[in-house]
Amino acid sequence: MVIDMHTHLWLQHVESDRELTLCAMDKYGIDWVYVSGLSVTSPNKEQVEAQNQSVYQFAKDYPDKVKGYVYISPEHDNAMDVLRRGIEDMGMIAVKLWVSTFCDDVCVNPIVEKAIDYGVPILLHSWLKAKPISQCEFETTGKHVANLARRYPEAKLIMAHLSGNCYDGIRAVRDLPNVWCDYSGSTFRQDDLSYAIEELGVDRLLHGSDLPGNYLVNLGQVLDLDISEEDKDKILYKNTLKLFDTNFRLGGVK
Amino acid sequence: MKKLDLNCMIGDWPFHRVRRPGFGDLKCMHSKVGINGGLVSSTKAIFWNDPYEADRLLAQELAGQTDYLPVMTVNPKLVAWRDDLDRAKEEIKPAAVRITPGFHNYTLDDPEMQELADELVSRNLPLILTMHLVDERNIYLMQYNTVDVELVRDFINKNPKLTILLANIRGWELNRLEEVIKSRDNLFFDVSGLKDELFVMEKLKDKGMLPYTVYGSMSPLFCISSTTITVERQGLAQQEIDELYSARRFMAKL
Repeated sequence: MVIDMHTHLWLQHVESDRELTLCAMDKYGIDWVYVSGLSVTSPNKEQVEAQNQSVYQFAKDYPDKVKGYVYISPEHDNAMDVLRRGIEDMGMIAVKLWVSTFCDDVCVNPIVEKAIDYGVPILLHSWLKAKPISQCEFETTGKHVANLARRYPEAKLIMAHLSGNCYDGIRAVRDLPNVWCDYSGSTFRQDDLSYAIEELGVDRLLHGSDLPGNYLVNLGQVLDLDISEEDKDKILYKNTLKLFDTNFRLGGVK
Repeated sequence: MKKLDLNCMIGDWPFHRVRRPGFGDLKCMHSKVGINGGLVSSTKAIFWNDPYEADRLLAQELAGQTDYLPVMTVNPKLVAWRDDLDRAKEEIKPAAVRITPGFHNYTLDDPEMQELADELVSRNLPLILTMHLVDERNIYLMQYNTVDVELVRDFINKNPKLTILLANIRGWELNRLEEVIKSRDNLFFDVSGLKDELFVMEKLKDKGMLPYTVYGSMSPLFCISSTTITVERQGLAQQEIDELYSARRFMAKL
């Protein structure tokens, strides 16, 4: 089985993204995709609603292939209502935070507390960019994820993209057992996953690709690993199944 | 059947641990995916003050190999680069010359670069023009420059007799250079940088770009499997895949 836990529908081209994603699933043997809706870096409330509706519809149309994240802009005054409707009414399985706020901003706190109640993970975009490439104004990096993880040791947090530069992100969260990492995205350096396994262990790695951007580059990273097939299966789906199980709760770490 | 990697390297990388830096590692990784030859550069030659020192070591490492040929790295801003090419004739016997203008702080319209191009034509040596190495978002420990696509176009047009392989070119750059690449029979690009688009090989086929496409992995910086499965799992006919891997048209220029 293969679960790609980090994929997107972009509001600007939902239909083509759906088509590309389904085609990739068929071509490359992906059993499940977990999808979040995105549009602009700081969407307004209507855009957030539209993003989540597009994902809800996709999951509804393909209930045996697609699960959804509820996207939240934590700075919106209706954020808690969006969260409640996403999880309770739309059947979303996790929360997605992107770049409208840093993930450790205080306005995120109630969302994290509620996610803990629900038992759902929170997928946190995280990426440290070298100058002169511009960091988004509120773009989370490893240190922000670490702050949030320490504040809420019972929260199930996913640091996406190995934080872009894995040598920064993984260092920040190495000793925080409530932070998992996906390696989605296009940097695909040969040694990123080996480093991640050495520092985090294979149980904290999740298979994601940023579909429909690409898929095979990230799959190739797993194929090149010198680990057992059992460990590859952990990365490709078993870790995801465990983490997203709402009965899997963290007791908190001192 | 010849299955070649025309963009691979051996050596360490100064900014992170490379777990498979040696020629033996490269051959081992290649053999797992059926690759049986290639053009090999040295990562050390990018960073050492005298790249010739590194290229001499490269040649010693590849001594006796018939399927793996050394590629010399030249920085035309260094003194005595012509002397290097002269002594390399016997000592290194390079199959091609690689440049890394982004890391060596010159541009393709520098007069020394034109002198190098003229010299390569007179010596019948192809040029491997490194468009990118690792993702620039991760280069935070040194200054670098991006290679300007328009300067690449101008350089190509100014040097009609020079065989050029555009290494690690991105999809958007390829789109901009598509017409000029198709205008000649001595221009090529490898697949290692085509990471930002699903089904990229099918698109290349539709655009008539396959004859100009060769396989390159950018190992040990990028995962070999990421690029082999990109070539092999995107709906190309076996004959098209074999032709791409054989790099018949490029190798005929050597």
